[in-house]
Amino acid sequence: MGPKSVAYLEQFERKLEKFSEDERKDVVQEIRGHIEERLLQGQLEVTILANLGDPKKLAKAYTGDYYLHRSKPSVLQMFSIGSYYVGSSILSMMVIPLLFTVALGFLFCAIIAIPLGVLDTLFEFSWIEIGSSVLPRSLYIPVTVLISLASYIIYYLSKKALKAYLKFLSFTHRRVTS
Amino acid sequence: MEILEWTTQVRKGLLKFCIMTIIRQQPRYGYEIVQLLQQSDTLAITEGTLYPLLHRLVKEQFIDSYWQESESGPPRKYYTLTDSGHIFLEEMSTEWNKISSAVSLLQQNKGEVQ
Repeated sequence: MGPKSVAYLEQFERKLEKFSEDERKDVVQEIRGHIEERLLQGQLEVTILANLGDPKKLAKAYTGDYYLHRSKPSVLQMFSIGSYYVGSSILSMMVIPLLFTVALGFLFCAIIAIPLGVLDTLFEFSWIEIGSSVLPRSLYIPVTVLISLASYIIYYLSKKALKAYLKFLSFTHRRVTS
Repeated sequence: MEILEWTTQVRKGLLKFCIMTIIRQQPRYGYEIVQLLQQSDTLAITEGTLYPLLHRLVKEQFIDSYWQESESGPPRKYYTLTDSGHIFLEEMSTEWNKISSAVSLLQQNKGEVQ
């Protein structure tokens, strides 16, 4: 076997990490045997490897539907996988748009608050209302800075929460399905 | 291009059926199956498609495998049908016959089933 085949098999085996030791050995042995036998029959190494396709894709074809076919899933497993998808999708339907909207809205506030404060201080536009009935004009800018800061903190926290939630989803997904 | 895509879809659906038909009579190893399918151009598939599919059929317990020494090279992994594989193949055969005769009837009668 040439170095190309060796590299191919190494890459293939590495991508089968999900499989148990025995299963992986068995699968790799079959492909190795295939390559060796075709070489003995006089086929070109490049042709043999091309017919097998990209090693990563080949491994993926083996593992793609791994969790459903690993063994016959029990009714309980099917139930837990099913309820996970139902539960997480309903939860996500509320959590993701909410966090996303909050994050985006407050980011917008954080960006525009200070420019508005400056504009209002300079020109006292009637369409900008930063508590002009209660606050002296000199405080418009400091107040909008505070508002902007607070908005930014809310944006930052909701962004973090969204990230954490997505992480949580993929973590539980792995746990349920493997 | 559309005909290519359509053919791929149809073939994909029939692949399990073809592979299991091939190993019904006698145990076969991977490359043998590839060659048998290659005898008819339409059913030809690559090794990269066949081996993972065989692995899946074993997982689904329709086929079984065993290793056997070969005089001409490395050991080969042979595949046979299991009991549930035989039953499944029978069912597929029946369905396939129904489908193909209904389709050819449709073609003969210019679009009408009766």
